[in-house]
Amino acid sequence: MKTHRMDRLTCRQAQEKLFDYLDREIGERDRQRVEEHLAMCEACTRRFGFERKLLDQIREKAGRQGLPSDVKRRLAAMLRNI
Amino acid sequence: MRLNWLRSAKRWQDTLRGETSPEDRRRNFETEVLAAGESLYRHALRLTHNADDADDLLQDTLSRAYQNFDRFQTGTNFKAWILRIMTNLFINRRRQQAREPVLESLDAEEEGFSLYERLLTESFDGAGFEIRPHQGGVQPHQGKNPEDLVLEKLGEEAIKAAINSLPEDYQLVVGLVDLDGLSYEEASAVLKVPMGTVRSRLHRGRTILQRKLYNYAKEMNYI
Ligand SMILES: [Zn+2]
Repeated sequence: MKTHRMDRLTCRQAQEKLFDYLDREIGERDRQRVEEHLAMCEACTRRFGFERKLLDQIREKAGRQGLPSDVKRRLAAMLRNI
Repeated sequence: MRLNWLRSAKRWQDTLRGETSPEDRRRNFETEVLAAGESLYRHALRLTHNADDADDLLQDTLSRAYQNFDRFQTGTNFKAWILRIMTNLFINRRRQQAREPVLESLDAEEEGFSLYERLLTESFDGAGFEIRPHQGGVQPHQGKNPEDLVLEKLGEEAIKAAINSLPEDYQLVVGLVDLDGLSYEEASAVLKVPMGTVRSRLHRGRTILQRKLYNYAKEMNYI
């Protein structure tokens, strides 16, 4: 498949799609266009890499703390009572 | 031995017919709830803002979900399903005392704020070199990008505090997508708002979050 020059994303356009791309909430065509851009553009690759790491850090540090033990106990009790 | 065999044959038959024994049903439910426990509790706290109400909401959610567990489609996302039940219960309960959505408008400085761009322009020369005046000026950076090092210094407490200080509607979306891993579509079903609203709240929520993390990093002299 041949890509038309017109189809190429500018850095700005690629960055507008950044979150949709990282969240995998992007159509197949747009995903390809973003990836074509990243393959050519070091600056955007670095930016996308940073945003990916930031989201990973957020999930790791604030999203997976495990339940406090008192909540765990109450949850188990609730399950027994239904 | 023979009894065991009969029992497992019976279970197999049930499976073929798509039926589960009450014990299996209960065990499956408990397993799913325990796996989703952290997300459930967090979402309950974000909705109610206090631990007692969060417990009540959680209890009601479990009862309602268990009653309807037959309608849950195996293989789909249980967490998204039960979070939706929780939100519905909460909204119905609060319907009488309807609230206005609290959406803080972004000020000019927050609009389009990017932590990455700030880090790149403020402390580094932007080309992967770190400026260390006391160690002989600009140094080629070994291994990691300097902006990544700032990221790694951000602690659990700082990140949690930043999320908790987001305006409520942003906080809910950021919690569901960034912490609980829901898709935009699942978050839209949980919160009963259109996908486009999820997308814009999430993007703006993240922008505000980046601004808050930047301020924090600055205060702590990470930058
Ligand atoms: Zn670019």
